[in-house]
Amino acid sequence: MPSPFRSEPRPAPGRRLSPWLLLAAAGGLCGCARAVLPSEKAYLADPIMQFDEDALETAADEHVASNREGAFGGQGAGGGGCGCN
Amino acid sequence: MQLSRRRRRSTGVLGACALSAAVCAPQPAAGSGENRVRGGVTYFYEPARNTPLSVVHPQVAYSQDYTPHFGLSLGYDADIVSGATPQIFGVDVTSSATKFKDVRHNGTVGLRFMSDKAAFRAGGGFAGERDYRSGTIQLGATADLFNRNTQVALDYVHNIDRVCDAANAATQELLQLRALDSSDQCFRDSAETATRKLSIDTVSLAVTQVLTPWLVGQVGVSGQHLRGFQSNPYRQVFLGRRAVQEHLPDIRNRLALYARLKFALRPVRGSVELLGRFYTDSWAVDAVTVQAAWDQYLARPLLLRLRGRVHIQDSALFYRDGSEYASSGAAGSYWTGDRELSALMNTTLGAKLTYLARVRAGSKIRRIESFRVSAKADLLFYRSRTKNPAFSPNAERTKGLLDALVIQAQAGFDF
Repeated sequence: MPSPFRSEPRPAPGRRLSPWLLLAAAGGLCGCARAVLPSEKAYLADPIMQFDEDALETAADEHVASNREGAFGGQGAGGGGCGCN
Repeated sequence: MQLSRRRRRSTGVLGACALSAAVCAPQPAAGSGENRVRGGVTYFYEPARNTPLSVVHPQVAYSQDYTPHFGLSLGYDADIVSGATPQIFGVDVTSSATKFKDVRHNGTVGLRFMSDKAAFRAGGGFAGERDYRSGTIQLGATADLFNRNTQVALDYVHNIDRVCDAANAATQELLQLRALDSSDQCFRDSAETATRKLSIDTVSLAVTQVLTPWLVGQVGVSGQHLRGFQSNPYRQVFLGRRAVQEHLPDIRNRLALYARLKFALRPVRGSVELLGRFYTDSWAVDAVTVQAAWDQYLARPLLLRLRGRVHIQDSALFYRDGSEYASSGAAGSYWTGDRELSALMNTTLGAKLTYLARVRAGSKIRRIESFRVSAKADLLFYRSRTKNPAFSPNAERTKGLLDALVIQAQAGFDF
């Protein structure tokens, strides 16, 4: 789908970033955030909102880091939680 | 060879990484189409007057869902390594650098079985070079929960590795361990070499959560258990008046915890990603890594990514620098001159430019949905945090401001 970043829609009232949203972000992973509807996921579908969107780059970066550092892991899983497909 | 020497303790990571890259990652929502072809080349260079190192790393990956419930992935990458490395780690040791060249090949295959809200993955791979062989088996599952706002991914990787070593089996005295001179006789019926086993189990769990229409987060944990030969067979440490092969414990347990956030910057058509990671292991290597990245659309199909990363770690319990080995000897029965196991700080600054384009409806290229071309450059800065940085491993490679350079070019398409 075309990037929603190309044409900036007018934010709906009450959807602006606020300290409450930041608080929700902090607590969201433990289930504090409200459910996001599929119709609200246009931004999350954009490639720039995906974790490890470029798998080859991620693999090469990890390859370099693992040969220069003693630590490993933490790159995590890919995907961005769009869930809109 | 040089890369493989450093790779001893990270083979499981690489196995998991290669599989994740070529077989299963990025993990889209379960049941989504994942039809793509990617190819790229990465060039890594560590400048130094006598011991430079360069690696050319080509990669190709193919992935296709043949039905809504079944997909296949294939991948291949290689390391074409050339350079030089010091023979012995220690002070007052005059040794010329040893030049080397080697090629490592790595192939992977993966299967995906998908339903509406879950996907199961199985794959395997094999990597080989003159002095190291690695077989990998991976199993994984991903589930979409709570209206696809939560994604849980669990992966397990088992490595069956074989390492070429000098024939030290008959040596009972640790100070008589000798280093491997050459890989010419590796994996052959030779009295000069022996094959050591290394087994690695890696488990990773990641939870991705949609927090708001513009914010997504992820937390995860990775654990790894290694058992077997983990020393660098070529590396020698100068103990007292003799050069002895590096000696590391056979068991290592590793744990990494991380959290990251990605936030859409709608007014400027961009996004920001923040990552924090903590690492600890049974060799007392503790590390913290932070990373920030900014993705920004410059024009309609042109995407710029800027990335900064800082990694700080302590040294292993038995690590000593060259000066300490000379003055005090080894700490217990283990010794190493491995830069990976020393206290250090790595900083990475990078930029990447990607051209992303969708094929217009009605185009002659009917089967291709979109294509991309990208180029990136990373500048790597290394600083030793040991007591005597002048006697730290690879000190010669770290005298300048810039310690390493990574350049990558990539192309691919979705269909």
